[in-house]
Amino acid sequence: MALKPEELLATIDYLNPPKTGWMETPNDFSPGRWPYPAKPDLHRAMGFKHAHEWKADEKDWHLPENWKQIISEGFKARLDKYRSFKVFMDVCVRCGACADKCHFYIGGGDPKNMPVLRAELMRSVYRADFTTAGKILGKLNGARVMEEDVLKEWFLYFYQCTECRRCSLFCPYGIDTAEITMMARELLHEVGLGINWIMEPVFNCNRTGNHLGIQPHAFKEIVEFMCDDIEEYTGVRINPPLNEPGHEVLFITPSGDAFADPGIYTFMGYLILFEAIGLDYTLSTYASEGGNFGLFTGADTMQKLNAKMYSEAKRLGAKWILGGECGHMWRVINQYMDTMNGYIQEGSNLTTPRNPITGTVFHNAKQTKMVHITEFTADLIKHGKLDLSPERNNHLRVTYHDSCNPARGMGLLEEPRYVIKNVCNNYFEMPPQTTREQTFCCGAGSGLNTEEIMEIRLRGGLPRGNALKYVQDKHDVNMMACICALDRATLIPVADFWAPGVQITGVHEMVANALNLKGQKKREVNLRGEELEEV
Amino acid sequence: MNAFYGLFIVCALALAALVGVGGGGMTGLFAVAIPYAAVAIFVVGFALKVMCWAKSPVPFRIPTTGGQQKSLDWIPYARYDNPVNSRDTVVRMILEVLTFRSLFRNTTAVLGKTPDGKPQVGYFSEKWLWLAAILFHYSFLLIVIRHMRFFTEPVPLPIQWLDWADSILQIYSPTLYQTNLLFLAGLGWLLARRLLYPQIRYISNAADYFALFLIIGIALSGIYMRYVAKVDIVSIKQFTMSLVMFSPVVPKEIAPSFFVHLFLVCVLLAYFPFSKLMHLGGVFLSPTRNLPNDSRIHHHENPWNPKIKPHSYEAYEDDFREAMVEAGLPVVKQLEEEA
Amino acid sequence: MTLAQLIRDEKTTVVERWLDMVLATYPPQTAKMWKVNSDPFGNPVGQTTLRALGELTDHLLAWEDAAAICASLEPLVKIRAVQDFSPSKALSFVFFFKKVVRSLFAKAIARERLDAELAELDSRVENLALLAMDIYVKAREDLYRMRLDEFKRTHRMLFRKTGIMCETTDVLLTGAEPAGNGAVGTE
Repeated sequence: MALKPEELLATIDYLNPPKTGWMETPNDFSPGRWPYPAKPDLHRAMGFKHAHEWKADEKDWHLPENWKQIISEGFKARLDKYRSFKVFMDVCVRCGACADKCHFYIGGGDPKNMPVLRAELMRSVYRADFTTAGKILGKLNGARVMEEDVLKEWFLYFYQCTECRRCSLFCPYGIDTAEITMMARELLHEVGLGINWIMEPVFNCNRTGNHLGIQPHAFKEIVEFMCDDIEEYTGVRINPPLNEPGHEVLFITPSGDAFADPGIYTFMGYLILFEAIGLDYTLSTYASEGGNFGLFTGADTMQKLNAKMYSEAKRLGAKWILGGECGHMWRVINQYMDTMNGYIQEGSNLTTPRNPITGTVFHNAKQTKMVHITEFTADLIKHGKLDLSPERNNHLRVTYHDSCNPARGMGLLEEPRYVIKNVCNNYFEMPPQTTREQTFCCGAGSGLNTEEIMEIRLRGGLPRGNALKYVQDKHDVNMMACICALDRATLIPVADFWAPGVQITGVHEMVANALNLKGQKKREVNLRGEELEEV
Repeated sequence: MNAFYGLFIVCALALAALVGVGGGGMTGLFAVAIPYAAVAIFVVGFALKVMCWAKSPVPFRIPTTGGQQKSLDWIPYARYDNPVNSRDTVVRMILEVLTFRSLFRNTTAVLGKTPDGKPQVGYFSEKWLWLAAILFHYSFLLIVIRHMRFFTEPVPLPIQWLDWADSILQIYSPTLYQTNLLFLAGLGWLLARRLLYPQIRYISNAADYFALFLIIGIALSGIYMRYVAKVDIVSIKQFTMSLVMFSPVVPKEIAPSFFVHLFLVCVLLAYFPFSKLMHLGGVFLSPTRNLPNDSRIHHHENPWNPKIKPHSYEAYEDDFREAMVEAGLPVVKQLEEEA
Repeated sequence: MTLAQLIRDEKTTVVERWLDMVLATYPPQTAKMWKVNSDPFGNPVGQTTLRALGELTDHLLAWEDAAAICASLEPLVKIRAVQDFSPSKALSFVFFFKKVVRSLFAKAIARERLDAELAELDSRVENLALLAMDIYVKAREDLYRMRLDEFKRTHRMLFRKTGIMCETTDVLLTGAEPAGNGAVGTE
C-alpha cells in the first residue's frame, strides 16, 4: 500500500509513543548500524570452523544447522570457565545505576545501549537455559528462549559496546559489561559471526606481526622514512635497530603509530627520546604490534597474538620490554599477559625492569617485565635526565583524554599528566566526571573504529566531544593528548565534528618536540613539519 | 504491567496464608512444615549457589581500577580504589559492602551562573539511590537482629540494647521503632523509582517488583500486628521458641495476621537462593572488586590456561626471508641454508 | 498585545512544550531521562537541545542575525544528524514550533486577530528549517569526508612508501622544484 506524503513525514507520533517492551522491539539493520562481516577465509584461517558468508541486513544469516546447540554448549562452557561471567549473570538487581553511564546510550538514546539492558540480552537466555526459576516462570522472571532474532540482537548490541568498563565502575556489584560483551562475541564467533575490522587485523597480526599486514622489509623502510623526517627537522640522524639480538630493551608499540597519521609523530617521538638518552634497545618486525584485536575476538586469539611479545623478547635476549602508548594493549599486558603467557618467560633473559639511565627499579612490573612508556619517561623527567624546552609547545593549549583501558583496567592516570605538564606550559583538565577513572570512551574502542559505522562512533563520541568543546570554549584548548593509538585515529573525527579546531596528539610527540638532542640544529619546525614561532 | 504481576502474586500469597490458617484448618502446614522447609531451602540453596559460583575459577585478575595505580614511588596511589595487596583489597571490599561505595560515585553536574552571569559548572552527587539503598539494607539488618529476641531465651544483652536504642524516641504505644520508618522510607523510594523513572521501569521485570512487594508485605504485616492488631506477643514467643527447640507447639491465641507475616517471610527465604537477592552472596565474589590490581607484580595462575603457541618466528622468517635479507634485516637462517 | 509579546512572556512554557515534542522523537524512557538530567556532561543531548530551543525561540522573535541563528542551530542539528533519524525526522523539530504556538495561543490569536503576525512567524519557521537543512547537509558531508580522511590517515605511510601520493600542495606552497622521487632523505 502506498504511503501518503503526510504519513511519511508524520513518522513521529508524540502522543502515542510505542509501548513495546524491550524483548518485543524488533532489530533495526539499516545501513550504518552494523560493521561489515568478516571475510570467511580470514575467519576460518584463525581456527573458526563455522566461518561463512553472511550479511547483517539479509534475513537469512546462513547459520550452521546446529547453531543453537553450539551457543548453548559454548555458554555452559564459559560459565564453568569464568566465575566473573557466572556471578554477573546472577546478581544484577536492575538498580539502574549504570543506565546513564554508557556513552552510546548518552549519545544515541537507544534503551538497549543501557549497560543493564545490554547484559540482559544475554541474561534472559541464561535464565531460560540455566536457572530453575527461569525455566519455571519464563518471561515473568525475565527469561526468553534463544531464537535467531535474539542472536541477531546480540550481534547488533555487543558490537555497540566498546568494552570501556565505565558502567562497571558505578555498579554496586562490579558487574563488568566488557566481560559479558567478550563472552557474547566469543559465542558469535563460534557460529561464524565476526566483523572484518577485527578479523583482518587479527589475521594480519598473526602472520606479519602487525594489523595492516606490512611485511618486514616495508616496515623497515617506513621506519627509515620517519628517520629521514627526524633528520630533516632536527639535523640528527637516528638508525633504530630492528630485530637485533643482544639489546637490553625490546620496544613494542601499536603498529598504528608506524603507519597512521598522527600516530607516526608519536613514533618519531619515541625514537627521538631513545636517541636522547642513549637507550640500548631494539624494535622488532615480528612483534611489531602492541595492539591485540584478539581481546575483541576471544581469549584464545588474544593469547596467541600476545604470546609473540615474550617469544620475541626471549629470542632476542632482551632484559625487559618497554611498551608504547596504546589503550587496550595495556589492558592485556596489565590483566592478562603474564597469566596467559608468563610461562614463555622461562629460560629467557627477562628480569625486573630497571631504568638504565636513572637506576629506578620498576617493582610494579616485577612479574610482567614490561614497563609503560609514560612510567619510563616520567621517571626520566623526575630525575632530570631530559633536556627539555617546553616553550616549543607554547602554541599548544592542551587537554588530556584518559583512554578507557589504562584508566579503568590499570590506573595509569598521573604518569601521562606528569609528562605532559613537564613538556608543555598550557595544560587544562576536562570536567572531572569525564576524566580519570570516569573517562568517556572515544566511541570506537574494541574494534569498532571502522568507517561504515561512523554515525554510531560519532554519537558514542558525543560525551567526550561535548566535554572537549567545553574546555575549547573556556580555555581555548586546541590540542587533545592521549596515550592510545586507536584514540589517535578515532578522536580526530570526534573532535572534528563536535569541537572543530582541536587536534589530536600522542604524549610522546609533545615530549619530542620539547626535547633537545645533542648536536641538533635550530629547531624551526615541529615533528609535523609545521613552523614554530620564534621563542 | 510487570509491577501488577508482582503485586498480584504477593497479595495472593498473603490471602493463601489467611485462608489456610483461618478457615482452611491448615495451621500445622503454615506454622510448622512451611517454616522448617523454608529455612532448609534457604540454607541449602544459599550454600549451593555460592558453591556453584566458587566452582568456576577466576582465570584472570580483572579488577576495575578506580584510581591511580601503584607505580613510581613518588606518585601517590589510590590505595583502596586500586589496591595491590590483600589488605587494601579487603578494605575496598568492606567499603563496597558496608558503604555501597560504587553507588556513592554517582555524580551529576549542573550548569549554574556566577554572580556576574558567567556560566559555571557545579557538581552534585546523585545520592538518592545510594541513600535509599543504605536505609533499606541497614534497617533490614537491624530489624532482623531485633527479631532475634523471639528466638533466644534469655535474650542476649546486645539485642536488648538494640531494641532499646531503636525505640529511643519513646513515642506511640507500643513504642515506635525508628527502623520501621526508615525501612519503609527506603523501600518506598526503591519502589517509587521503579515506577516513576521511565528508564528504570523499562528495565524492571516482574521479579524485581515481586521482591519489593514481598518485602513490603512482610513489613506491613509486621507493623499491622504490632501497632494495630496488637497481637499477643507472649504466645508468639512461646511458639517461636518451640520452633527453635524443634518441638513445635501452636498456641490458640495467635492471630491469623501473624501467619501472614510468617508465611511471607518463608516465601522470601525460599525464594532467596533462586533470585537476584543472591547479590548478598555474589557481591563478595565479584572479580572486578575482590582482587588486587597486581598481575604485573605477581603471577596469577589460571587453572585452565591453554598455552596456545604464537605463530612462530621461524615460520615468520620462512615466510619473508628473501625480502628480509634484501632489506638488510638480520635473519637466523641464511638464504643458501634454506636451499 | 502582539504574538511576539505573548511568546516572550510565556517563553519558559513555550520552550518546555517544544522540548517535550523534540524529545518525543526518542524512545519514551530516554526522553524522560534526558529531560530531567541537568548534567551538561552526563546528558549532552538533553541539555544541548534545551539550550538550542531556548536560543531559537529568541531568534525567531528577533529574526536579525543569520550567523547567530546558525550558531544556535548547529549543535542540535549536528547531534540529530548522527542519530538514527531519517533526514525529515531529524529536521522535523523546527516545525514543531508552529504546533507549540498554535497549541498555546490559539485563543489569543483569534481574540486579538494576530493572524498576520502568525503568518509572519510561520514563514520565519520555514526559513529556519532551510537554514537547518544547510547545516544538516554540511554535517552529513563532513561525515563522509571524515570517512575518506580517516582512510587516508590510516594508510599515510603506505601511500608514502609506494610513492602513489604526490604532495602537490606542498610544492605549490613552497614553490620548490618537485623532487624526482617520493623520498627526500639525504643520501
